Amino acid sequence: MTSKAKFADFDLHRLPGALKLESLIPNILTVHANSPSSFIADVWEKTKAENSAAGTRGQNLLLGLVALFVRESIGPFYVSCGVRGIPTHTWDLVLPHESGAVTAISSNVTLKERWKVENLAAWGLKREYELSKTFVVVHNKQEAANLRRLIETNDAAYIDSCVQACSTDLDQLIIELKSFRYIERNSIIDRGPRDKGLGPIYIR
Amino acid sequence: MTVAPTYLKDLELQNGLVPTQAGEILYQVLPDIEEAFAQPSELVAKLWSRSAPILGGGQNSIRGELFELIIAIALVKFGLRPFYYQVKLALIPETDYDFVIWTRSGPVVISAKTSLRERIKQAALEAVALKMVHRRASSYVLTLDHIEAENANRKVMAGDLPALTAVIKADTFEFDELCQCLGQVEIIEGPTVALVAKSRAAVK
Repeated sequence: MTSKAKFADFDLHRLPGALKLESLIPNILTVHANSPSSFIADVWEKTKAENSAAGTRGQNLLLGLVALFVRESIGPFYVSCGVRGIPTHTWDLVLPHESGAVTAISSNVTLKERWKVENLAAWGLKREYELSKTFVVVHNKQEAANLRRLIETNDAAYIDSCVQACSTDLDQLIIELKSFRYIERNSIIDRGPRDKGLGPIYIR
Repeated sequence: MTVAPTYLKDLELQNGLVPTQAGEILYQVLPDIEEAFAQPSELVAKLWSRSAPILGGGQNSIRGELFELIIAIALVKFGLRPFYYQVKLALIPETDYDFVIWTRSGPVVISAKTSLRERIKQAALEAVALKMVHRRASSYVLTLDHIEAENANRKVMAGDLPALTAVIKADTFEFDELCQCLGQVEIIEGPTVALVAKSRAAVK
């Protein structure tokens, strides 16, 4: 990847808020960061002033993760897509495996009761695509800890793990994600009624 | 001397020794369960409008529970029994369905929501989960929110919420029609299913 790489080079400029974020952090795909978690922490810090609305906060967290996947060469991946067989649910990032399984990632600034929906969707994903994995990335530290506890007590048994976006847990998750081989698999991707979903995003 | 009503306890719609706040309100607006109503929708409309001055604007959780109790009373009074209230179904994780009525062709699930907003997605995903286990199941959402019901029904018709059967306005003829349909099928008790269906031997 060249040092001048932009969201547009990966078709990611179509994501809501992408160009705004790139104007705030012009070299977002190449800027130096010590680790994935410190990169997300930097993105969060630099967008603090913009993050007054809940929607914008969530959007910037997702864009930070998307940028991270490009930087870490994890892909191909799909953004804001559903998966065939589990209609009505949209994951923030979807990575079909070479093996037939699917990794689905949900990013949230806060979760509240939505972990129940994520757990149910994770159950559906595992049912339809054996050995699939669901990861939840949360910015709120307390809520990340709470969901981890629920995973441990089997109350959210179908979510594989929950990481706090700016903690070293995210670094571990990135290492785990890099251990799989992903492929383009348009046949199982549901881009939603208005074709909002994006991908496959190839990392060149 | 007037005797305080106890029908919620008699019907097993009350968990503890004393009624919840929503139960207390129901007793105020329907002191005599023998009061006659021509149609289920009339019962819902009358009890809900009698509750409005007591509920005021806030108290969302009490409103939600009261709406559920009113629906339960409608089911009782119009002979749609047995039904199950606040149900966890086997093989479907982490999902509490508001009402389940079991018929010979499978479960009919009813979600009662005073307003819909984002909750329609959760109801839709719960319907998907139900269909994964019970292919011939039906899922209805009952609401008092006419505008959002129309919007959601358009999505159901367009196939964007594929597992939902319909979104029904509880204080209109739509609810009467649903009750009429359910009254025409045989309602049975929910079956208990052996998790080991068949084995050649049980070696101990």
